[in-house]
Amino acid sequence: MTRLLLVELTRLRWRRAVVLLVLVAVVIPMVVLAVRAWDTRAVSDAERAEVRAQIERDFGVPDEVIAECLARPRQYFGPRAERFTPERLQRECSRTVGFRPTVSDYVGREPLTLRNELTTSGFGVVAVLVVAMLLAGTTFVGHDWSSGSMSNQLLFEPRRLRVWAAKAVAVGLLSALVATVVLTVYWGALGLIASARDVPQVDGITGEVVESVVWSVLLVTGAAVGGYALTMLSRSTVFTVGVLFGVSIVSGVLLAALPDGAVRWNPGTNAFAVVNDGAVYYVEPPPSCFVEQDFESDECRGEREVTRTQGGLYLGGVLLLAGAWSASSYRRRDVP
Amino acid sequence: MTGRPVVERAVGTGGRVSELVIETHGLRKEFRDRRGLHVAVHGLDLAVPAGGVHGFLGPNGSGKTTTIRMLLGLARATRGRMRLFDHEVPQHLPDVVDRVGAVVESPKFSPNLTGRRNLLLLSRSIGVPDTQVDAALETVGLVGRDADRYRAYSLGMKQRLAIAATLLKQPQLLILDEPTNGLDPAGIREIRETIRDLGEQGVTVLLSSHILAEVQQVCTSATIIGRGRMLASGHVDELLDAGTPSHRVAVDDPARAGALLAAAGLPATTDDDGRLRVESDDPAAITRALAAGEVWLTELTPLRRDLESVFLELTAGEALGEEGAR
Repeated sequence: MTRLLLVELTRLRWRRAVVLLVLVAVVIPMVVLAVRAWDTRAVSDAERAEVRAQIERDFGVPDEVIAECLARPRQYFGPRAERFTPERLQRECSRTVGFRPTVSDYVGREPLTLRNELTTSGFGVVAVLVVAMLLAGTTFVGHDWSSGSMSNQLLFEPRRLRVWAAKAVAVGLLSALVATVVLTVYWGALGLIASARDVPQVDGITGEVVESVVWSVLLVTGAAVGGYALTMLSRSTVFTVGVLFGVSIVSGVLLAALPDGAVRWNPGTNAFAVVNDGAVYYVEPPPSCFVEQDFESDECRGEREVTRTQGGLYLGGVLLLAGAWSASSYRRRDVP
Repeated sequence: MTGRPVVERAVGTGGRVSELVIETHGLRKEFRDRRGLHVAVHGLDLAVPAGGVHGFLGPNGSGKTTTIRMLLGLARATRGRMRLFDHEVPQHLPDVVDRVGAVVESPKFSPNLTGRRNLLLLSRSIGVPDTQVDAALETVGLVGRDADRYRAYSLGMKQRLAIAATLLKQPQLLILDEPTNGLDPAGIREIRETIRDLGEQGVTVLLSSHILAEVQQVCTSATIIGRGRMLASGHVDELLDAGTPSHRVAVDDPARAGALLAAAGLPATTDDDGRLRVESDDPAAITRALAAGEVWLTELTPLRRDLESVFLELTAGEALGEEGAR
């Protein structure tokens, strides 16, 4: 098995399409890293002064408006305003009608906080890795089928499950390695930049990032092995990519047509939940919330959560099914 | 001729009893598609003795390649039993695969890799040292072109690379499916000599081909199949000698000669060129019958059948039909 695995790793290394996809998986995250470093650069004193002046010009003096809000809260917040305490009314009026953007709002640049990056650019990088490694797993074995060399390989190693497993492990190892290296470099660099800029980070962020990286590596590896398994089943890269494309379109249409809760089954939502320890999605609150003007209770806020465990079980289950189907089909069917 | 006895434990070259390296019993392969059920191999009994080159003949679509693919574990048999080196296959194929080299249909390698890299991947998968790749390339005359990408190879070079791949294992059984397809005359001759040499070195070669002259030149024994069934099997000389021997006769008056021969119990037919074909292995009887009627011979030639005539006789009406799509 080790010998076979080494051969498959060599075969991967010699496949130009795979090398190209690995390159994509490395270069795009590095571009994202550079863009994020640039977009979160500190605001200079001169820039800050200029923006403050601009805000004053654009938003004027809101004191009269706030006074109006405090005097006639029902006009601003509807019947629910009658339940507000004076402190809350002050807060709501300042926050809404007395809104004044911050300097960073105006400049459009937030300081580099790793917590924020986890759910934005970090997940984007994971998505790039997922797509690139899924395609690598697909094209790697699709080539074996299209060139007919699969039958040649079986003339040397007829134990098909071994061949299937060796290729799957090779694809998984490559994907895990690429994802680990890319994500380590990405988060390491972001951490260094943030530290150099003295941007304060929330406590325990390092642990959160490490946890996210570990789950991201698992997700990327699973996607690559899933792409491989589907192609071993369909025996064609084009077919697999077409099916994945079709599924993404059909599922998008279906999710739009089905009730809000169907978003729970969206692979993207579940992937996000796996990487970021949970994903929140929204459903339409029941009509009673509008009648009652209640937007505070859990039910009326419309927030729902997919936990990491749920997401992992869902995606892992799909991968397990695809893998089992693929391996048993490969074992049974005639090889052209 | 149909139903000619199959060698069982087996008459090899020179009449010695030898072990069988390939055996199939009642081998059947069915394919199902939208148009229904197709039977590619119908209860085939095949026996290939150890040593020498064994021809495996049949028209296109007769089930040769399907049989080979089943033996090598690339296709599943619907029914029947198969043995290689006395091991049931496909169950015990891993136990014997190192002793079997095969080229099935056209050569199949990764087009973007060089010939050498393609062989290296295969050799490493069975733990053969890289030096064996050099030896195999040398044997098939690809040294100097081994660093070229496979896709740049001519068809002949691809065939030679496929044969080199089979030699990586130093096999005791070589299964070659149409190995000279697409080769130029020089290439055909080289491959033929390679096959003959391997046979003489003790490697058993199963040569599937529809080039009958090739089989007759190279093979010591042969099996002829049609529509997935065995039609004849045995030593090539036995196949050629089977059936009624005949003589070609030229005379001035073929019509009268025909009548005289028929009266003597020697059936004769007249060829397009006016000469007679007499079904008899006794030239003296032919001479006597004609001389008795004062018809004098200008030619009397014994006719020895070639493999092509045997093949055509056996496979008459066996053109590719609905069955045997592969």
